Amino acid sequence: MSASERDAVRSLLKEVATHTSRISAAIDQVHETVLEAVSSPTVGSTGQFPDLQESVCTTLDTLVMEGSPIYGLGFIADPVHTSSNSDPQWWYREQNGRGLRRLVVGTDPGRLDFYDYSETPWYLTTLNDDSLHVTSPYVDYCGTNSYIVTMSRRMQVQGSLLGICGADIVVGELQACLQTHILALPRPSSVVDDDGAVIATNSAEFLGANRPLDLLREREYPVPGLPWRLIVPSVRKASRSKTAT
Amino acid sequence: MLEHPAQSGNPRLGHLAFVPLDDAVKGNVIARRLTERIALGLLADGTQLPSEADLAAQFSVSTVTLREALAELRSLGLVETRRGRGGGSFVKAPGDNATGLLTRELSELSIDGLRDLRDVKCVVSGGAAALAAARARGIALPRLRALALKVQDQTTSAGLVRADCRFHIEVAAAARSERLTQAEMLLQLEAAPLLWLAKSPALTPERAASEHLAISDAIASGDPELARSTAEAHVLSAMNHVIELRMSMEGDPNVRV
Repeated sequence: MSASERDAVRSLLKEVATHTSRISAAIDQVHETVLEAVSSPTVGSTGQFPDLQESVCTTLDTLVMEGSPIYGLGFIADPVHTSSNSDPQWWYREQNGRGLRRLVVGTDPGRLDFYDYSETPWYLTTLNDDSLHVTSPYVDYCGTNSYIVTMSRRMQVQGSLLGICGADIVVGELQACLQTHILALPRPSSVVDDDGAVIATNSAEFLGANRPLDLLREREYPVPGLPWRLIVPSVRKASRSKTAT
Repeated sequence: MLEHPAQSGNPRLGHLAFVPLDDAVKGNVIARRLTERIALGLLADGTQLPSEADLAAQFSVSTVTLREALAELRSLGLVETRRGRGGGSFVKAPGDNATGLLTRELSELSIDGLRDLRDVKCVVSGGAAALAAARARGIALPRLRALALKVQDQTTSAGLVRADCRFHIEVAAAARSERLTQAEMLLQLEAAPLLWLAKSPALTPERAASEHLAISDAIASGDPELARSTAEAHVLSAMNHVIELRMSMEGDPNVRV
């Protein structure tokens, strides 16, 4: 591997880690805010969750100013743990302009737009442990209708689940953030998740697709803190084009 | 002519009853769309509609056009307008009259417009299934399978339409395309009410469930061509029944006698 390639790998991994660690810090902050409030004797006894609007929107604004690909951030109470203000406290960026908007989802199981988040990938994968999880890319058709990945973390108090904290990242914006770094790598290099779904790539063929693995011809670099890997072909000249699936 | 909703904007599932229309489309299209949603119970009894100004803005029509549409709905007894504080327009469920209303809606669509809807739906649903077969992985697959079967548990037309829409939209979402998902949502919301109106022995909830299952199995097996042809066949057989039902009705709004 050439020195320039090594630099590109290093800077790409650093860029991914910078974005995702900022976003996971934002999730931790939401986690702490809710936990602190529900543990305090005054708020905790009411069975209500604190109003997160100010803290979430401030965090989102700051991240967006820093060029983060973050799309939304917030807390969703577990459906079992219902209380009077248990609507999702989730804010997201508007498509045009810089405004923030609170996510409104259908709460009536009889309606077409019912958002049964207990069936969503980000909910199901988060329940098992306290670690930070990240979904495969998906079209969030019940929520914001964008192609995103969701990072999420469960919140428990004394062994019982209160809800999920999380953040959405627009896949296309993450690709844009990584573009200059990944273009410096041989084609086709891709950042993929543990299902092989492509998160970012320098090859149009693999955009939105899954990356078939060819272990003999490729090198893998783990992305710190996430189940993602950077895959770079090891034989530059002889690299055969593999079909995306 | 069938309505052609403007493709601009980024409609979410929850907003689809109010997707913007292009300017040429008149109030009767708005009335028809709201009638369908109300007759199917997708807009529930007692739901307050947004204000006239907001509704007009959402549909991108003038308030005059919108008032005409609301007047039409009032005359059908589907909307009730209350004055004063806490007033506004409220949805009134049609009860036993729902099927009659939907039949009337179908009779106002042209046969060729339905044929066109079928053809586009075939391309979109078939293409979405093929892409989903190439791309869907992990927990998306058991989820799709569970949604495939949900249609057979439904006892109301609203439930059938919902379960049917959900499955097809989920397939498009599994293709990882925002625009394909939106296209499928719009088509599905036009087609599904008509399908379940037809109440054809060829389109029972059990048959739909088994066809959905075949599509989801083809997607799970990672076979794009099988997924495409299975989805196309499903759309074709269902829509052909709607078209034949329409053929059995008198008159065609496109044919002036």
